[in-house]
Amino acid sequence: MDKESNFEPEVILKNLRKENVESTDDYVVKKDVKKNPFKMVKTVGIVVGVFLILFFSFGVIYKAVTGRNINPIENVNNMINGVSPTPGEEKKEMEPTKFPGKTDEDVDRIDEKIKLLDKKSTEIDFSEPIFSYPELEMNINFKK
Amino acid sequence: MKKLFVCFVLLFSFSISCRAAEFDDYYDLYLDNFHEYYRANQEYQIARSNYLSYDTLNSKKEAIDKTKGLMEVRDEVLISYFESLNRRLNTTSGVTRKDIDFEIELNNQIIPFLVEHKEEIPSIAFVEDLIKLSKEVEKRQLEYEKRAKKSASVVLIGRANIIYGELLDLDALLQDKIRVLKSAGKDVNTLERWLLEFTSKKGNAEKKINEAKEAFDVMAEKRDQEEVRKAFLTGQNDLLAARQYIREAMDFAEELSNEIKRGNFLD
Repeated sequence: MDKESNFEPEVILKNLRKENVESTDDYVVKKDVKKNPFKMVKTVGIVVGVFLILFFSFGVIYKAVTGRNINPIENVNNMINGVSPTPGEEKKEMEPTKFPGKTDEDVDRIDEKIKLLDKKSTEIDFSEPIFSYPELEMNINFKK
Repeated sequence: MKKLFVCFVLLFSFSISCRAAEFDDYYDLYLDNFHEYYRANQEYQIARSNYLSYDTLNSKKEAIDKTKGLMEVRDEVLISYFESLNRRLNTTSGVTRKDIDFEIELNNQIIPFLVEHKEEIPSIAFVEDLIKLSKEVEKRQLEYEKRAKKSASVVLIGRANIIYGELLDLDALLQDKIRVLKSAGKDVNTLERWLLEFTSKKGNAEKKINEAKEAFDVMAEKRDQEEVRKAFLTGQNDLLAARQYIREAMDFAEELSNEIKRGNFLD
């Protein structure tokens, strides 16, 4: 038998060495570790847990130090609504755009009247539920 | 004198807020009655159907009881509707007090009949008598709906008059200003041209308000419920168009005001 058979102990050991395993016993142990699902779940659980602890503690610390929420959506909403993201800062109201040019009392009165008309014409409603006459049963009979 | 004026203003605003609260109370009552009406109507429909199917003494008695219940609540709904409408008229501005009182008076003439009708219902014992009594209200429906829509139209015209009145004030202010500028030797040709455009929109608004008034007046001549509703809707649409013209005129006025500020009109 010139050629080494694959089933010869030396050949098997040589193949195992290629996989960095010292003995067949070690090989079996290593394969078992790879297959154990509980250990994997445990590892993933630890990683996720640590991440969550870090995440929440970072949020609390961030808010304590800066006074701002870490939630970017809330911050954007605050900006849109004009709410100051940092407590203590006063809300800045936008100044109405003033038309460039000169003005006097008469023109101011005209502008005031336009504003009033705008407000009233927007508010006034030409429909209201009380106006609709109630739909009632107006054909009481006992005919088939 | 100052104290007297303050007292007058306070009393006036107090009376307005009382009237508004009064309307809310009556309107809530109307809504409650309407809710009750729905329940009574469902019971009536079931009892009627059972009576027509089985024709037993029991089903007949049940049908009479439920019909009476429905008729009583129906009268109650109509009474509370007209009372709410009267309170709404009371809080209306933009029309003369005389017009409002006239409307309230006509609405009040309906209520005693409905109260009397409601009181008659419990004494009825036969189906035929019940149907006859019901017809007394049923035949007045067109008249009631016309009355309700006429009152509503007074409220709507009042609202349109309020904004049109503001537009007239604005018109006067613009005309005065342009007159002053012209007497000061300024070239107001553009301003006058724009004022004409403004006046045209104002004219259209006035025309639409008048058309609405006509449409509302036409309701009285109608002999059909659908036609009454159609006329009322036409009037409502005219008022919406009037508001649109008023807003367009307002935009022109704003441009005019900006032109005065931007141009070389003011020292």
